[in-house]
Amino acid sequence: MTDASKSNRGHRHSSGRIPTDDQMDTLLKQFFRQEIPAALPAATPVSVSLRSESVARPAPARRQFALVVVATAIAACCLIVAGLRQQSDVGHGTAERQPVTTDPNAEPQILDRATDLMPVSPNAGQNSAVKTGVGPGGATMEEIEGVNLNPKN
Amino acid sequence: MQNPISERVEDPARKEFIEIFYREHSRELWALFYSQCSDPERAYDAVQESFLKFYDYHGETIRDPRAWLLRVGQNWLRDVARKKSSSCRLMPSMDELTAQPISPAKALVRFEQQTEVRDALKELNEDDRKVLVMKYALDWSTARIATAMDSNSAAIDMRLSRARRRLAEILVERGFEND
Repeated sequence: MTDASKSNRGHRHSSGRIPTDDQMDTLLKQFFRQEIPAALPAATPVSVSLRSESVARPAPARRQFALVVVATAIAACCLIVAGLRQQSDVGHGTAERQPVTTDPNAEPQILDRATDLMPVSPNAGQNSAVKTGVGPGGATMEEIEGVNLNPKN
Repeated sequence: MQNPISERVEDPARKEFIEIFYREHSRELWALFYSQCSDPERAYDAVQESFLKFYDYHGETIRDPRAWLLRVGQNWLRDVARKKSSSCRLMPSMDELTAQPISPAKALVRFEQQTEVRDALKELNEDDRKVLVMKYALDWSTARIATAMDSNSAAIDMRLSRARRRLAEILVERGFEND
């Protein structure tokens, strides 16, 4: 089409005035109203289309990444708590630990010292400490602390 | 609404499923095809072709019918574009002109305006054209367009505004005036 034929048309001009955003909005609404084939069914409800979209589209990578980070953090917390529990169990000897009483009127329990306490030399910490064995194997604190820990070749 | 493919299926359950799917998705598919070819009739043909193939398909289960239809339609559009690289646009028939409540002269002017806007849309890049089609042909909200295009609402608003502006500039360059 030539410029001459263009200039003959009634709906054309060359003033260069750019339509505003609102004018373009109206123009596009009118344009697409006529452009959509009448044979197509009417627009579907939003809920139906959104459901189909959620099936068709995978979750965005950012969301997946956040989920992985949260799951890793939870797993790490579980591991730390489990580790701390294990340490406290080893330190206090869970097998002989007495249950904690929550009743405020309950009588305080007196431990059986002969079985609950670690066997030590009766005069431990003094120069005159008796270095005879006190445990079933005859071991004293001095002997235990004097174990040589040199590595084997 | 009766569509040309509903008579081809014998299994009633399958027929019902595809008819519901057609009602729910044909408009959206048309819009996506239109944003690729800027030709309303050809986009409509692509919708029909993809659903025809869907009816005739008896292979493995299709996990995502919408994506399948979209791919079939896009392939069909590509084939047609290759075969009909120099297609001519039809003028409105006498039936169309006389059926409208406006004068034939005014109908012709409107047809030319439609053609002008359509040609201007072709000059936009595909993403700009797609947001305009989703906004104005499907009447989707910004949030929904953002979800469909894997973007955010602010970016889509910005893109819409830029696309309208660019389209306006193209139309002015072409000497278009909206009545």
